[in-house]
Amino acid sequence: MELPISEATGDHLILAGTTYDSRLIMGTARYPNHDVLLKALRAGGAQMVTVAIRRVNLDDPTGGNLISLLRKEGYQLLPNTAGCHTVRDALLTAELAREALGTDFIKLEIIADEDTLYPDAEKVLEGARILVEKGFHVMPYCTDDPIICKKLADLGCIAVMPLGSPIGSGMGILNPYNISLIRDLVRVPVIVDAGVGTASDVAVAMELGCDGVLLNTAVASARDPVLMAQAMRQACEAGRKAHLAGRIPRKSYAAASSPTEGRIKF
Amino acid sequence: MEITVNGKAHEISEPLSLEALLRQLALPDAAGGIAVALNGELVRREQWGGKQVAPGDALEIVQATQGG
Repeated sequence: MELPISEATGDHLILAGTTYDSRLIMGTARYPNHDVLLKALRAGGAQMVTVAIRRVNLDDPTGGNLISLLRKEGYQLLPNTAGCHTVRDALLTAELAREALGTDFIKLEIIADEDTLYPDAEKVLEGARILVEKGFHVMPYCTDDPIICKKLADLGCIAVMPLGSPIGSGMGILNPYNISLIRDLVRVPVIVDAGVGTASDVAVAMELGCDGVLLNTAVASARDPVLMAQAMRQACEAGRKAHLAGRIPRKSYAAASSPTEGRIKF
Repeated sequence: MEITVNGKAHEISEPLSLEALLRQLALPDAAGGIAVALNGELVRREQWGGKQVAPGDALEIVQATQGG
């Protein structure tokens, strides 16, 4: 059997000193049921999965069962601050997540607008600075602005997670040039978060040199989530290999692949 | 005495510690998996026993759930 890319090449994703074989981080929301979720996570090969922090339903406080199951299966949980619009809310959510799950990792999301779910870059910078000071491993969901990403990395975020396109839009990577610039400018891992619609979007992100991809809806809402998760895993590995192999430059005109020497003269 | 728990009014008969309140609410996993904020500030697990809940307090009791 062919080895996974990480075993074959020693190529790993490193986040806050921890080494990951998988470069795919998967969300756990919007799946038809828990069984499909667990099968999809397995098919995608993710080691880190995202979770949200929400109120316990006091009439039926069984919501934590899935979380224990995810832990038992060995997934590292990456809590998010989804739904927060202010720095204050995001900070409290991060503190609650650390307390509930005992992890310093936090996916920092501070949303500016409900229609686009676009990150509020100004608030993300402020929130990230405070959380880094409090010892969190901050992975900010941010705009695909190379300067914002550089600032986030410089202030101590362990990775930056620029959007490919708006959350759940499935539009893929709208600005590949920016993603390349971010990869060039920033020294921490770059993980494309949001916007993936299908496997080729993951491959593009990885070919651009990104260190990983975080996705959720594209798998959870696919007709066959388990099959799509498998496709995402393969695209992630294929894109990474293509990046490492080095693509040929684009040219405007053709260049024959068969030798011109020794051509038959008719 | 009225307090607010997760946005809903909740009656308590006497002043009590946060730990006692959580027991009263019958949270199955009071030892792990949940976190509590009192009036917008995190109360760490080790402080639950010593933290008194007063009338008018607002509590948020949260846990991790499916998310993206």
